[in-house]
Amino acid sequence: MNITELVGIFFSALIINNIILMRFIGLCSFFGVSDKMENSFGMSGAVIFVMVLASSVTWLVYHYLLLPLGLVFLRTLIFILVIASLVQLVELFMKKYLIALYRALGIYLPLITTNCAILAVAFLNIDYNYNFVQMLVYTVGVAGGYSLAIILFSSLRERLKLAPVPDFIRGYPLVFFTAALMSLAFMGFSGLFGLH
Amino acid sequence: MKIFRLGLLLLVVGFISSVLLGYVYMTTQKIIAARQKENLIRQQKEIFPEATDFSEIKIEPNVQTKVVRLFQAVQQNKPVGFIGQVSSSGYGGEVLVLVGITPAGIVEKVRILKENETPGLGKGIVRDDFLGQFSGKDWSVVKLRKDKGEIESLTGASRSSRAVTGAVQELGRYLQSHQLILSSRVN
Amino acid sequence: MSLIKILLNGIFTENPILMLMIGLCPTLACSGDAGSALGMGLAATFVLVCSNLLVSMIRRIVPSEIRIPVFIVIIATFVTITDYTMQAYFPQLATSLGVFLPLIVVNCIILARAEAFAYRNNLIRSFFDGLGMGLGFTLAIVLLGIMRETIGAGTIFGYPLNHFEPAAIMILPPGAFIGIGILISIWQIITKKKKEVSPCHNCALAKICYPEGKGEL
Repeated sequence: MNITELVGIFFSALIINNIILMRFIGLCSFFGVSDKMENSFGMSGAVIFVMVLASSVTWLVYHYLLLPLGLVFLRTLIFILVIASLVQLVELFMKKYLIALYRALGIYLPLITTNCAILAVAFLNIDYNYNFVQMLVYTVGVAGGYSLAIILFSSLRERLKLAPVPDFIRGYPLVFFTAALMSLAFMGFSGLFGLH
Repeated sequence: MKIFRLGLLLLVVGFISSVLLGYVYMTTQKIIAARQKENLIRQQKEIFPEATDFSEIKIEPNVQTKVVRLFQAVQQNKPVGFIGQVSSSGYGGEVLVLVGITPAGIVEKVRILKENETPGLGKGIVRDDFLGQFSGKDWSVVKLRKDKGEIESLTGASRSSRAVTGAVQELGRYLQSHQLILSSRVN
Repeated sequence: MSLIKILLNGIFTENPILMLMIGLCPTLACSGDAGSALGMGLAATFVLVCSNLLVSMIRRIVPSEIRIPVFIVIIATFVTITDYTMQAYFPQLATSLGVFLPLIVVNCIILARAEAFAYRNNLIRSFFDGLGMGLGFTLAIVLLGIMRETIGAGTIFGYPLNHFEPAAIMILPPGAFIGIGILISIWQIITKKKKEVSPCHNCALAKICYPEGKGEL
């Protein structure tokens, strides 16, 4: 494990294999939350926080509980329950002790339970056989990539509402075509730093 | 208290589910393992069809190599060659290459097991007209022409092509350094 | 609603992808070729139908407070069963679906139908609702898969089409967005309906996220 490898993992997750634009994970919240820029910032903050926490906890649960006990097949079940409970706990904790943060991010927290991105990253950290440090770097990269995509996209969406397009394109089709262009742009990062 | 009752109910549901999943897991794992064995033998037979037996050679854990698995093919106790699964780096990710090399160091056959290359460009490395070039050549010259070798690269996909030649080089180097094949070449 | 109406509701009126805009992740990710699309559609339909049936069966026994966790356990169980069964009997399909196979557990459609329908309706109706929604999902994803594979690779379910120079972009990520955009605009023309709702609108957790009653941010 060396720095070059970790930097590679980070940039691969951040832009080259951007979780939303390249891997299509986390789309529901991407399209739902990006219509206003303040919402995008809030959602990004919540995602970064929950994703790192959830990935760390599920990683530990997998490597120190499921694997030694031979309960690998309970992975899907345990992971989703852990994430759902974690989100509840985080919300309660925030309401009591981090009130300012709760007011900023609070409403986005329950949205995250069904956000495929959190669960997907938990799975991928296991599938890629990452150790704890690699897992952290990858997760932060993915969360950063999510934030990057959603914030950039929301700045575009505000203008789409006024775009002169035919009626049947207006609304979601236009949003999808814009996402297509963003995805195309991000594809240009492929091969950056010799990474894939 | 109500909380305990609810919690207990949830626990029961979870327990039933776990037992069911455990059963499904055990049943399917047997099938998956059997199929993986079948696939392995099929791959090995494709490289050295005349071989009658394949034995796995353990890769030393401390050695830094991209060779993932190594097998020796024998025909009635006569060594016919070595088969290696080599992990290479292509344009779109990992390329898993199956390479067969005879004890004399000649490449028997190359097959692509896994790749994620660009369709229309790098994906062409799976084609016979590309891989066919490798058969019959000494492993030391299996490099792209622009790297002073004898392999014609795929147009516009030198990264993908290099992934395959690199895999052959990696296996050849490993076999040579472990005295498994003749080392009469300079590399 | 009659049973046939329930079925058609899921396929047309409230098609989860084309009308409700939920369950987008697996739709875009697994539609690179028609075969994977069909596989994902059927896998999700199977989980949806089984989940609806089981939830409907135990709806009187499960107290309302723990219903969401129970739904999640049920869905996760069926997803895991589908996951391992597919790995054993259809390994190439399982590999091409990748991480999206276990990700069916957070497919909004399944949780939404458990909460909105199966928890409040009898077995037969829940079965038809699950089937309808599942078929609607499968229809949309297979249409997208056929579109992307035909234009992007010049094949259909693996069979090559002659005299065709494919546009590779359709099987690459942007193609998925373009494809679904085209599909939805065609659908909007046909049904003459405009959907300006946010995806949360039909999500099962909408009441948890927004107890004040608003389904939108």
